Amino acid sequence: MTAMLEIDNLTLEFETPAGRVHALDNVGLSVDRGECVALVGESGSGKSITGMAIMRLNGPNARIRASRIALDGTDLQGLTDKAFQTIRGRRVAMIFQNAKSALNPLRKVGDTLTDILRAHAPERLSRRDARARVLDMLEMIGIREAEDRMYAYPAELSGGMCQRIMIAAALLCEPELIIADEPTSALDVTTQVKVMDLLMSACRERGVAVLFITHDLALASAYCDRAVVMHAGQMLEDGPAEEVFVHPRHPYSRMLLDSMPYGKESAADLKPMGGNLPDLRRDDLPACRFAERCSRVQDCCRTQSIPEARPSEAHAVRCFFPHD
Amino acid sequence: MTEILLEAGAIVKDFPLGRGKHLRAVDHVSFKLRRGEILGVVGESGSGKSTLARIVARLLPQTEGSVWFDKANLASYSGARFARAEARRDIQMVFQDPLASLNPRWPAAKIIADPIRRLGTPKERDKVKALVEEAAERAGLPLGLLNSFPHQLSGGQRARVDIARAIVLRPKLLILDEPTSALDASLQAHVIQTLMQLRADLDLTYIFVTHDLNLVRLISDRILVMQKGALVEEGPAASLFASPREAYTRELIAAIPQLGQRRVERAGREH
Repeated sequence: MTAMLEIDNLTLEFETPAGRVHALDNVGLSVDRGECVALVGESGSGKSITGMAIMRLNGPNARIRASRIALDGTDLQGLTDKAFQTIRGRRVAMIFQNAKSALNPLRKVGDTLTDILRAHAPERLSRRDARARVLDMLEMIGIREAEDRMYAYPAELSGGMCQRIMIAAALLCEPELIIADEPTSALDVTTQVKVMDLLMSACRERGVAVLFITHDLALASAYCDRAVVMHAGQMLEDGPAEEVFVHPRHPYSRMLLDSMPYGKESAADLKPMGGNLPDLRRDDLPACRFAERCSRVQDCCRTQSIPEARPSEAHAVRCFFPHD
Repeated sequence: MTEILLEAGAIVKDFPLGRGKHLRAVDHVSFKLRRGEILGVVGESGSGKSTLARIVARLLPQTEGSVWFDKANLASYSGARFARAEARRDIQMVFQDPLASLNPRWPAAKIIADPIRRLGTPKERDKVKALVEEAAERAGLPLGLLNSFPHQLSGGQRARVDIARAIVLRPKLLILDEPTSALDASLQAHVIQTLMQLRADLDLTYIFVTHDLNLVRLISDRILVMQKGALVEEGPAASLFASPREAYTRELIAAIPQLGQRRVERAGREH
């Protein structure tokens, strides 16, 4: 069985007046039906750019090269922008971090959702039918007084409610893949649980593949099946969530975990990450872009292409000197 | 017995909703703050924790209640009187979103110097530059960035500008309202380390408002849990997390994701 999403050798550069930004370097990942894969890393590591590249939202100055960006076995790269519109929103949906700014502030959320459905649904829908389907969806995802909510403006709703509306928007056209970019980082923990449960029920019950972009490792380990760790546009570790988060092999994954409050006893145990992300405009980036921050670095890390170690069948680490 | 720095008594805040109705955002909350302590205030969005912080910082008038600080009830002061009071410089606030709270048209140095110009003594005003540089250094802001505007700085650097601004007059109490929630975890660790160092060096007391329970557990001595404006539980950080008494506290703690603790079953992968 082919995976729902397969990306191989994705390289992305931005042409800017300040030089060429080497944003992604040979990224590869896959997401199965009904599977939730976390994409983690610090701010600026290329997580969102990867999501946007799948959706073709990177803008005209992005140069994308990839061996494959395939949805359900079909490579999307050959599609014209016009043909891609039948994919975006319909077969692949995206949920953004700040739902309040993703919703049109001047329109009632019911109208926005109806428009989304009518724009993307494969069949022609009357406004009335579309509204009925929107209402069904809001009720199905457990929004109380859904009918009244349809008449609310985004500013009248809480952040958690807006995020649930965005998830409803994503689910409306029954997508096969959802790219969720930090969907809960603006929400507090109790609301976060509700939003994650909703997303995971779509994933499990409808078999939707979910690519979950986050910098919250505990959240990723609680919900996701697999985790992909990114740093400076490179993929460093990819494996089952519990292996990656409980027993990380890559020095960067370890450093990331050490900087987080989970499982620590006091503030002194929080180890800030050393160094900074390299400037991706540089033409002399080391082969492993983590080399300049790494405690295990040797000459080969800078010059030779990085080998892939496999601690277990489903677990890959791109490092010369991974932890045991 | 350590000295009590601040004591809040039965603070109530009603916001008018129109037509004579009110929303009670803070409902009879009392607490004592000991000198040198870090008091965490947690609760979900809308629980009243930020409103409480603003009342204690005197940025918002209370409907009822008292705020005792340095033998004076600041809650009885008018805004104008508080502006001239000694305590005005002793209580400083650090805000959640530095991009929104820092003046976008001022360079970092001017932002950090602002409290000196407004509240400083003539002596302090004579050495603004030295004080600004010292505060920036303590807050971990590279001096080379002092001429940068907020939009030219990264999120972590902006948080440091805000912290430098808050400590430049050597206050006794810092009220931190979600100071790191706009930052990712690795930057958060840096900023937290800076705040811990500052507290030790400058003998500060913190009120730390946050919804990040993982973080508050690590840094707080005591924690207040708020729900719908009311104080539901109060206790030392360690025992509150180990054996919460109230159902709401338990619910809040249960909602925190923990590493390696799955909340959904794994999907099988067929290869």
